Amino acid sequence: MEEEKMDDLSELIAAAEKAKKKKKRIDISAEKLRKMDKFAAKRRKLDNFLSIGLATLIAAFFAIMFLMPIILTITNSFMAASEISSNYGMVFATNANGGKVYISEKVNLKFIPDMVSFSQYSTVLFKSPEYLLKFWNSVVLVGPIVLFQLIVASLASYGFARYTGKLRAIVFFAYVILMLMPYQVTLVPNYLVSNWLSILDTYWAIWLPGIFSPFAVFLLTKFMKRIPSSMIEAAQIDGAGEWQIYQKICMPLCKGAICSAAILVFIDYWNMVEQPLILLADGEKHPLSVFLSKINSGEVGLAFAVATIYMVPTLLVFLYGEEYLVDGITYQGGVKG
Amino acid sequence: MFQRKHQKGNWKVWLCTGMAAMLVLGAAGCNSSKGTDATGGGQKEGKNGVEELAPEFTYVAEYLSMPEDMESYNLTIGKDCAYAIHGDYEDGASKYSILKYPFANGVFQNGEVFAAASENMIIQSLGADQAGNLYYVGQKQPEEPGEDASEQDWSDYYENLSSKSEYHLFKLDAQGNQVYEEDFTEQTKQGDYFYLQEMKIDDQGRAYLSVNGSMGNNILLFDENGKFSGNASVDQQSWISSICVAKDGKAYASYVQYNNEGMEGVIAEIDFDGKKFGKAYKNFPCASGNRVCLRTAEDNLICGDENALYEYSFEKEEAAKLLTWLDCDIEGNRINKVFMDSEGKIYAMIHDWENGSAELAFMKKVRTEDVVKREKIVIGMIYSNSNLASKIVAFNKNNDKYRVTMKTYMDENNWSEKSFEDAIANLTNDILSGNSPDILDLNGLDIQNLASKGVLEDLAPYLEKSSVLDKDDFFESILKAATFNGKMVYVPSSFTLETIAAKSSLVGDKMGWTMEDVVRLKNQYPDSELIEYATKKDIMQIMLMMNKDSFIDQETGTCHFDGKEFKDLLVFANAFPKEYDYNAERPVTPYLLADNRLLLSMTSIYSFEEVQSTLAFFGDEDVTFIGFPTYNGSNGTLLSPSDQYGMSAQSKNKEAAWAFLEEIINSSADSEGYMWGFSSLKSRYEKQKAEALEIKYVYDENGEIMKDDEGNPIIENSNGGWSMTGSDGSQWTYDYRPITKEEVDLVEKLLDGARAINMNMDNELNKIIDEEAEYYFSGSKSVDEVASIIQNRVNLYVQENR
Amino acid sequence: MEKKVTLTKAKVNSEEPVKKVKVPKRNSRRFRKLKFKSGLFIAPSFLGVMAFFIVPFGVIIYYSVLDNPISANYVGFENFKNVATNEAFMTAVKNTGMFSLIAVPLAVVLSLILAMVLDLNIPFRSQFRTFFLSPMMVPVASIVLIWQVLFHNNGAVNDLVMKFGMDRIDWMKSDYSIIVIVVLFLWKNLGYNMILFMAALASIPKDILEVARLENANPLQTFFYVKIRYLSSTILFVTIMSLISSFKIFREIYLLTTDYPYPTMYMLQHYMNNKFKKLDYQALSAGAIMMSVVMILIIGLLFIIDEYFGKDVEG
Repeated sequence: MEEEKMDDLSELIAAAEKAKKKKKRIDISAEKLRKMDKFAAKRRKLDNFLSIGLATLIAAFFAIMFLMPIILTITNSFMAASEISSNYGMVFATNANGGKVYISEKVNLKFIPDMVSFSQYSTVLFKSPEYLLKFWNSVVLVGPIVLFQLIVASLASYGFARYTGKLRAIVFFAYVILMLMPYQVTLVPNYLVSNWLSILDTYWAIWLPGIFSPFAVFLLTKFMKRIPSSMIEAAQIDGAGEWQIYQKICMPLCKGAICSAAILVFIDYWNMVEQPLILLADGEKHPLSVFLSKINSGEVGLAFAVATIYMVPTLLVFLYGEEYLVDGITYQGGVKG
Repeated sequence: MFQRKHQKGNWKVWLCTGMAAMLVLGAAGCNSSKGTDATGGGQKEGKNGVEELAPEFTYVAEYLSMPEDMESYNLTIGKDCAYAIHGDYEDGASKYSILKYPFANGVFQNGEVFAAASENMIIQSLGADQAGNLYYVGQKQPEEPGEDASEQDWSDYYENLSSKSEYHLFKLDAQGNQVYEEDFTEQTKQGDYFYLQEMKIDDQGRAYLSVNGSMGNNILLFDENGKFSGNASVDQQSWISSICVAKDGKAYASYVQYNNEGMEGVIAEIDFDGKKFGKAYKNFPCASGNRVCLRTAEDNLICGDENALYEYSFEKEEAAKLLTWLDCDIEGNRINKVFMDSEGKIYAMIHDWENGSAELAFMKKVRTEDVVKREKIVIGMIYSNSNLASKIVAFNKNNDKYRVTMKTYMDENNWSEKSFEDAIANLTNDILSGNSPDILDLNGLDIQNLASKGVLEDLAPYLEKSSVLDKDDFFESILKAATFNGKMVYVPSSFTLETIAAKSSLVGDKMGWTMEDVVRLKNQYPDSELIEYATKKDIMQIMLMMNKDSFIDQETGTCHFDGKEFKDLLVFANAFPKEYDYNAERPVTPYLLADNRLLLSMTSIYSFEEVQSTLAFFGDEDVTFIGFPTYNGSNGTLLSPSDQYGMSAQSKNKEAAWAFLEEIINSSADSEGYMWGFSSLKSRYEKQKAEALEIKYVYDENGEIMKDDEGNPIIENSNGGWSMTGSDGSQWTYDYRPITKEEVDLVEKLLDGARAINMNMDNELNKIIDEEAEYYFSGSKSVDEVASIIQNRVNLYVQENR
Repeated sequence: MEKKVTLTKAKVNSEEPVKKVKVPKRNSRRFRKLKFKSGLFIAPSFLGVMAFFIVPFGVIIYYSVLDNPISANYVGFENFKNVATNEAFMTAVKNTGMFSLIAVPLAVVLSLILAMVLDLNIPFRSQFRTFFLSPMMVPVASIVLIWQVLFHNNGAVNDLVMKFGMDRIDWMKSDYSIIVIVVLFLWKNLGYNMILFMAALASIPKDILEVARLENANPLQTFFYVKIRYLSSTILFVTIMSLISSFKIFREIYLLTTDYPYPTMYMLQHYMNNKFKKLDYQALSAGAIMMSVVMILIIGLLFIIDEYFGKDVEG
């Protein structure tokens, strides 16, 4: 590549001319340049090698740090209950009154179980189907939210992107502020509204606020704004109405962004705890996330296994959508493709 | 970039599909086992106190007549009839017989003797099968001591009677002829004693005897010919509550299973041939107190306890609530038997313990819309309260405008650690959203907080206006204890007093002391126990209970947990044992007290006799009721009110709710029966006093006071006494003598100045202190560290709540 | 077509300017039609947000001027005064502010550095990328388990500390607790931020970098004079997203330590949660409103900065 650039002397001259403020002067001799460049290339190669090596090390270090908790969870889920309590029991022992008591023995952080045992999994999957039931609850709860929030949000962000007036800007700003509200603030009013709409203790009480959450709107609007207007204009010239522009142009272009928004929304709602607790009084309807947050001592091992199972859908979504996610993030970052 | 995607993507896609398939399978699997609606018009079992959905059908009780002298106490229901055991004792011999009452269309006919047992054969238990055969277990007791037997002989005779008796299993056919008699005495020797809990017969004529408790958690199995075939048992922790003959005519047993979360009820088939329990079906309701077991046409099982009746489906492993006894105006506690006739109609036999009378109720299934609707008054409570049931039933019967129902927030079938917090959260929600129950059972709630937020109505004006209760008749201190922020939020009907007693020689005769005094006393007797069975945590709790004010200054919101006082307290508490070894040998309490091996006696005074017995523990020594340590040495007696029912300020039926509250207080004040605690009403209290002081003489036929050999009047030993056996074999007995005036006055002295501690007010505080103190007690942190952490956290708590 | 290539601090424009969406002239029929139609698109979302967010927020405002949700007496600004002077509230504000001030910049800077590291064409690049994204998908509760084990007084980290001869540090119950939370926050969020930066880095036009290299600019100069320009809007976006996440850290802290943690971990949301539990709804509402006001200011500021710089890059 450098050779090509090198051959374009005119470019070089132009560059040199523009480099008024640069301290070094560029020697225009082609020979010298070639030599310099070869030397520079060699040095660069060494530099590269060192820096790549260092970079890899750093990256690897961080990667291990990041992965460790996950690996821990997964490997620990294969430990039998006795091993768990001998390693961690001291951390989570409970006293008679049900309060958590942290006792003083040392804790061992074990990565590899002494004895691989599937007992935790068998308990979870076969003996107590309630975990699976709660898992299914989670899916039922989160699925529609992700699906419909994206639909509603993509419509809205199209609207925001197509026309930006003062009113719109204020509304959008309000969206952002509302997005940042912690849930305690809106929880009881949500409860009241749900009560009034008589949807309390049904899944609707969680679906509706979730579907209309401004989070996805925020994510998608940023992207929609970057769709080149030339495309839209072309479509308009062809006589397309707004709806068709939305459908045929924006949607396909936004696939990446929608996927990444979907993943984020999914992760967010997969982990929700307080809303089901308050809005769904019937314990049977609670999703798994609520259960996980109520781990009590005797079940640390079980909790690992359940957590691993719990991770599976996110893993699924992740693996499948990672490419989309990255592409989507790329677009979101405000980079022009 | 896109090409790269496809190259890498393949293995990922396969992995994803694989996992997705697994998930779907799992979900589908559990979906099928997840049942949904209740069977035919019942109600949905809600968790966490969710009120049932308005069902299409409901049950109403219709009362039917019964034969006058029907021995209805312990019936065994057979095919279109009921059997009762009738025992006579004549001429030193027991003569037992079985009465049969034919039953058709809700009518019992007069009973006739169906069969008689041989002499001295006591009929213990009956069982009936679907073919009309009757089975019974007879106990043949050994010969009784003769005419000139001494008391000791009689006492020996009764001791372990069951292990000296013979046991036989009998079968009679539908005409009353004996089919077999099998002796199974040998099997009864398996445990310490033999007690037959229940007997059921399956459709094949095999008998199942539940001997839960006496011989482990066992069911004895007998084949069609009455021969003993083996045991079926569950593990030690479980408890078999009942045997049911359910679908396929097989016998099933319901029991409680303990797991890590808590307890759950299951029902399992009894595998006769395998001598064990078969598959356990989950989610069986009321397995800890099931008394009903009826087979329905759809092969479901109707089961129930004193609260409700459920229909359990084996297929779906789910129970649907059929009815709540309370809603049918029946006191669940009084139900003796629930049975079904051959048409599937449900009947309940209700007893009135006081009159000894019984009535038969036919539970008629009616459409809800046909039932007259009344205005509902809801009583909200965290824990279910069965005492209230009788009062509610009485109120509902007499009141045709209002109807009281109970709403329990805690799901007691599915108990786990966080259930209490969830229950509170749900109650809080209801209050905030305007759906608060009309009456709140304040037991377990933070009354101070509710009062200050205006949730509770001020009952003082109602009390003033009341025609049934007289405000001045109440003890001042009681009303004061129930007043928060100037509002009287509940009216307790009775109270008990908790305090500490010790020898006057040790603590002086002034009532009231401080923490330093306690420490000083303990240091004088370093090897003695301060309070029986007290661990480190208990000591912390006791010392802090009435002492928070010395560490927390409410005015400025500052705390002093990092000062010397608190640290000393931690060190002091640390000297106590972590856990108690209840199995260690120790003599009975009075001996310990006498030797000063035990310094204090923590006691709960709920009757005048308790005062006496507490004093008796100390023998002849002078006793001071010194109370719990307080921060200024004042009276440390804890006033513990019994029922705390408050009214919600949001209630729309305040007058009616007040009427019910009046009922509660009034009825408990008037009842002639035994009352726990002292009445809050002075008038009634005086009555209690008078009763206690009354010396009951024994009168002879002429109305003269009988005298014993020494010429002293014989006093009726009314209330029994105490008998304690220490694990080292020491014994101590005490019989109550008539109450003296000093003892009675003592109660009033204790009451004067007793403080009511709102146990739940400082729940958070206690939690923090307990949690952090544990670090010190276990040795992983020093006193200073722990004290400073407690100071920080409690400080935060106090500041937040100013 | 203008094509400027300079290495000065002057504005750098890209090859082809992205034109903003062409808005038809005002007052034209098309304009009004556009306005109306795009409004239609927004409508469903807006209605929902109205019902489930704006109305509840209105309810909050209503509650904040009452003394009590039950008796509903109007007390004006008293609640605000009480809450603002409450020491616990002030502690919470301080902690939340400190945390955001420490964690958000760290998140941005560290992820940027990591992105640059990964940008150097190291092997296994995309695997690393997956690894870094993985923390996002682990459920909160299991993380809490691990974290408790690690940072417990007798946990693994203290083990390490003791091996180095130092005293045990009580991570959760001392002033070091903020480190625990920051580490947790970074662990969760670095991945996502890093991907954003990587993408942004990958999209800096190569020819600019070439010229920089030709002019023998060292990496530091390259970074500060060239790359930052292109990264600025991403930096802002990442900051906003990290800020959002920093508020969400409450759930983790709550699971780690219950309602009343050591004061350095006590966040605004703890305050609000506890008030909620005690039925102290008016304090909760007042606190929430004050928090919203602050956030409006901060976010507004960020938006304005974004607009200003964004214009720069987009041309």
